Amino acid sequence: MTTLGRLSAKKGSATDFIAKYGLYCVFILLVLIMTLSHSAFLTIPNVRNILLQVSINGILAVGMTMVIVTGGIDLSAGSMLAFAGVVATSIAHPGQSFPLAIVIGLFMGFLLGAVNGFLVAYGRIVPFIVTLGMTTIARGMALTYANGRPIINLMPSFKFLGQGTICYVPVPVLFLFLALAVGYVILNKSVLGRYLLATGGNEDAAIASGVSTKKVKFFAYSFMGLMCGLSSILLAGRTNAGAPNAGVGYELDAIAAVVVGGASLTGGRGTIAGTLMGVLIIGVIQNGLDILNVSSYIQLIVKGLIIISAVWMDQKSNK
Amino acid sequence: MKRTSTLILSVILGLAVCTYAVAGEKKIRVGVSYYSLSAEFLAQLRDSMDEHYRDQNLGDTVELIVLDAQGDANKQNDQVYNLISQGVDAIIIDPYDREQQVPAVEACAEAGIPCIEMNASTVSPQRTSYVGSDDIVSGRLLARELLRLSGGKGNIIVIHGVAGQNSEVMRHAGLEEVLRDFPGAKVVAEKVCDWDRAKALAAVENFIQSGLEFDIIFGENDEMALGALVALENSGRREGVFVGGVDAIPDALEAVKDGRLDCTVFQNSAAQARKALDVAIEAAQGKSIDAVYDIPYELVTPANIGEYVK
Repeated sequence: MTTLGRLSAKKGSATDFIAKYGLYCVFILLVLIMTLSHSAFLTIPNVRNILLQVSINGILAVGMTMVIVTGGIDLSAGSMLAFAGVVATSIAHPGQSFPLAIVIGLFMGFLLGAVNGFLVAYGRIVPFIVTLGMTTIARGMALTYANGRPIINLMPSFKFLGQGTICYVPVPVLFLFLALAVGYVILNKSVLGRYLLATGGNEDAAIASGVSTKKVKFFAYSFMGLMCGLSSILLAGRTNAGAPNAGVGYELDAIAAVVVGGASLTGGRGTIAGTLMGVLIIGVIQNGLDILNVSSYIQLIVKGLIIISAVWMDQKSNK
Repeated sequence: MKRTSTLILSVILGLAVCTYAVAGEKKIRVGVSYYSLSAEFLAQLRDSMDEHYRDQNLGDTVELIVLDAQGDANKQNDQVYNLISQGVDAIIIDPYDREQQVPAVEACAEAGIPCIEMNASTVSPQRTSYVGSDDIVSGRLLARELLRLSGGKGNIIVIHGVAGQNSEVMRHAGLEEVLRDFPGAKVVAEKVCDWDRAKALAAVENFIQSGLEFDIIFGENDEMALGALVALENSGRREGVFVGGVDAIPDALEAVKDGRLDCTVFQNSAAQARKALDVAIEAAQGKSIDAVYDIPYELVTPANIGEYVK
């Protein structure tokens, strides 16, 4: 190990290359291993499956990236998704207004996210606690609103959002692309993106240079909420129902994707491209191990090892 | 350093993959999608199927692909789509939810792959066959026995499984149906405990604490009935209360044998698993199969416990 370390230290350019593209290498390697192991892996229907299967986690991960680069965390994403989903589906029965159901679903997610953002930014409560509280509040609200049962009998256009395709591309995948594009523009191409990173990197310095870090944080959590609203609609469309127990643990997958994608949990660092790689790596592992018929008990171990390895790798490369 | 870690990462993956990579040559491939494998009853279902697979020497002709959706409706659909894209010859699904798994069943129909629902059903008319027990019967059997013990009257606590799941809805429907014949009995409290023993324990502790008067605890499964039982025993309230559950898991059978639990309802998971696999193979071979294979429920009481445990 030390020999390798010394070698790469000498060859500066090689180290740089790996530091910059390591994540992509891991992804390509992963795809290669899976492809060689099973003929059904790298086929068009399966690639389509993988994209469809990562779409919800991907959208949540875009929102989570915004929160994490400010040095925050959102543990309530899955619960906010459940609440937005039951409210949206409750007004999405045949004969009701499709646009209204969508707008209300998005708004409910945004609203809960804004509450998180307000308490973190203006209430000065640590994000872990605020969103931990919101986890049970939103879950309880979802269960109360839906009386514990999934809301069924949805209008066809609602199902189309989850199950339909446009030119062979599943609709949720189109929304994933949209979310990624919006996230990319905000984080990498706008002033707001620089503020988000500055808030997480060094809050005092950001304040000193005139950044309203409160507004920035409020934005990050609200945006996360909006992404939960969007995911909730797609998820309900995919499963034909708005389930109050939907989305349990989804925030952890989103956090894992963001972190595997190279964002720092202490804030100040993270990219949408990295997050996308994180989402794909987790999705490919999930799909590939299923196809290879690996026991689900073992899958959990492999997934955990990969998350830890990715972060460990990242820390080493940033020393 | 980064390269070393990349190496380690790929070794981990490589090992996982190599250990499990299978060379399937012209075998009948059957995908089995469980909504969860983290509960005893479901793990038992899987073990029974594996046992049947070994006993019948199916290894030469059939390949089993077993997936676990870890209690997530959306994930279960995803796994079924994966099975479809692998081109398996038949799919057995133990659905998480009556409604939410409909897209998965319909996707099978669309792909022309036989879809056998096992243990629980969806509302989709597009399934190939259902192999399982009629859950309403278990609710009826349990309700009748508990009411027989209590003399046809009393206050009932209902401990519910995950709301909306087929077995939860139907077992409860069985109770409600029986209650119409017993005007002296009524439900005084209900609690959703998600099939979970610890949650039922806490719920019943709280009911006892609240001073609620009750004579019967109707557990929609054994795990929860056993949790309720522990709460009663710990607080010295076991006397005069009748407790029963459904599934006849080994723990519950022991409890009936020891005279702690009043009754359970035997759901023959082994027979369900065996039949489901047989039906799936027949369907894959293009043989004609029935729409429903009913595996009857059986009431287990101290009187007949000998037939279930040695």
